[in-house]
Amino acid sequence: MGKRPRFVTLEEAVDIVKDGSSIVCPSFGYEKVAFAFIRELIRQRKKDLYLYGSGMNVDADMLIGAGCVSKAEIGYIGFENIGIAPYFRRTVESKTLEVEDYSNFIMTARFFAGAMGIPYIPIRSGLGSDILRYGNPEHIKEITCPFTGEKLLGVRAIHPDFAIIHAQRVDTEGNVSIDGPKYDNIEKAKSAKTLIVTCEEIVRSEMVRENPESTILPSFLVDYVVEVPFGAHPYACYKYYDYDWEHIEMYAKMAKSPEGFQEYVEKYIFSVKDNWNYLEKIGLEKILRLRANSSLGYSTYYEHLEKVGVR
Amino acid sequence: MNRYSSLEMMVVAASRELKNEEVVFVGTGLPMLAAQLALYTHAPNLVIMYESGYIGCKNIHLPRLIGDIRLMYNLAMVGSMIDVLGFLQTGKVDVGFLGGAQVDVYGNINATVIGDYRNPKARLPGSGGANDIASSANRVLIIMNHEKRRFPRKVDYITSPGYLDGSEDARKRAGLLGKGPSKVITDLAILCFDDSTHRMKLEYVHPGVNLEDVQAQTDFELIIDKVSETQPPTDEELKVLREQVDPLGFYLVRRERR
Repeated sequence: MGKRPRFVTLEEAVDIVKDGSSIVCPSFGYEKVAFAFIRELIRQRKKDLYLYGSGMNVDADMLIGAGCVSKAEIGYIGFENIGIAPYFRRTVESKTLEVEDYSNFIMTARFFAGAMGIPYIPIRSGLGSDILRYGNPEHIKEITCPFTGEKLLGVRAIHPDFAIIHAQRVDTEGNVSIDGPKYDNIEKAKSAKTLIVTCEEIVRSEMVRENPESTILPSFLVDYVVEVPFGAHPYACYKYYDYDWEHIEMYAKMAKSPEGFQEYVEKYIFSVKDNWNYLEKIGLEKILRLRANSSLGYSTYYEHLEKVGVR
Repeated sequence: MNRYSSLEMMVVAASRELKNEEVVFVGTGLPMLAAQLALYTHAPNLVIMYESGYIGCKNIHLPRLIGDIRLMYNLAMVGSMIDVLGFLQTGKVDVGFLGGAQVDVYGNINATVIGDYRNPKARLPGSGGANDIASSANRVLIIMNHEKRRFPRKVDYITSPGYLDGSEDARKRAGLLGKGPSKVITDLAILCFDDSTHRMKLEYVHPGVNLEDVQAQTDFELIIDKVSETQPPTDEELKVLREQVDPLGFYLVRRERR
């Protein structure tokens, strides 16, 4: 059975992350993101974090806006169809945030190398582009294959101090089990020196052992486990609840001005006692409406809302 | 139903570039809409995949982002990013389908920064999977609004490689696997690239658009030789697009209002 993780509170888990740490908090797809953890990092006013990621969205923008991040290595920070991430944009333009730009696959492959315990991995992305031209030569480099002589991009392994991932469930032994897409969450989790997992629920081990194909990480790779129901809100958690599109759009709108951003973090982070209190502010009706329809795995609340012309 | 917007013309024209039984790796934004339209009209066997790991999407509700869990429903397979972006490098993906902020005369795409990279006028989101798709998909389709500032002679930053400096075998010499961009579909026209110079060439103009309009909205000289007119959207294409693909007007209505 090996080493078992420690089961801690959200506040305790975040306290472990000291100022100046490097972190990765997978945030692809507005789904299974440890968003409650992000809010608690902001509430505890962490400083000088070094942020690693591939595709990142609202979570990264909020951390940056709150002044928690001093440097980032990224594939993407934006809100896709909603638009530009306002604080990412503002801090890069004012040079208060230092960024190294890569592609999603370059970042994913770097975590993969980290997860496999090798110093780098060759891939075919980045070549000929300004990602290679402006990339840090300590992190990506054009190389020649020792076997075929082909030009390739060597991308260096990443070993963040902390990875923080969100899962549907962790069992009492600490095995991590998920539903739906894996993105590059497993590679990110395995590349880190310390792994923290937040989850919707802690379940009996028999349940995980009935479906071992859903287990993405064995207990001995996990250091800390935190149970946080609705912990990915305003993002989704497949088969549990959907993303809160109104909330995401509200953030995108408010973060366009420093005053709006302050108002947002004051209301949803600094004046909030704990995650239960946060969920109270979101409101019972919204929480229930976001619950996944069991035949679809997501909610059709917004589809119905927009059909009757509330838009 | 024959009235349609320039946005609908662009999406319909782009969807027609996808052939049945092709494998298409789709980027965020309008490519998602055009790929869905193709699937529901002339290309029912199109394999739609996203970097989030989704392969063979036949979803019933429109995704708002490439990782949307609406894509899990009725899906053939969900892989990981290392899986799908990895096998993109084997050359088994027919088409990459991308948007962007700027495209230049050689089909290089910028999605990272306006102005100097180290001293930016405007910072944009960055590559995401776009560089990976443009590097390795067999051919690349680009969909973008046709405005002068979006069609500079040279992009401020090459996020995703087109034909680079346009020289012979530039992509091959850089070590790139895919053959590069094949078409640029805009709200005014359909453009392709000259076989020898790799410069952007006007192929079709949409109904009601003049050659001069297209050139006026392009900051470099287009190759203009034989140009035809795009077939307008059929009633069937418009019906599927409005009623089945985007019934809430998430892309079609909201974008127009911006």
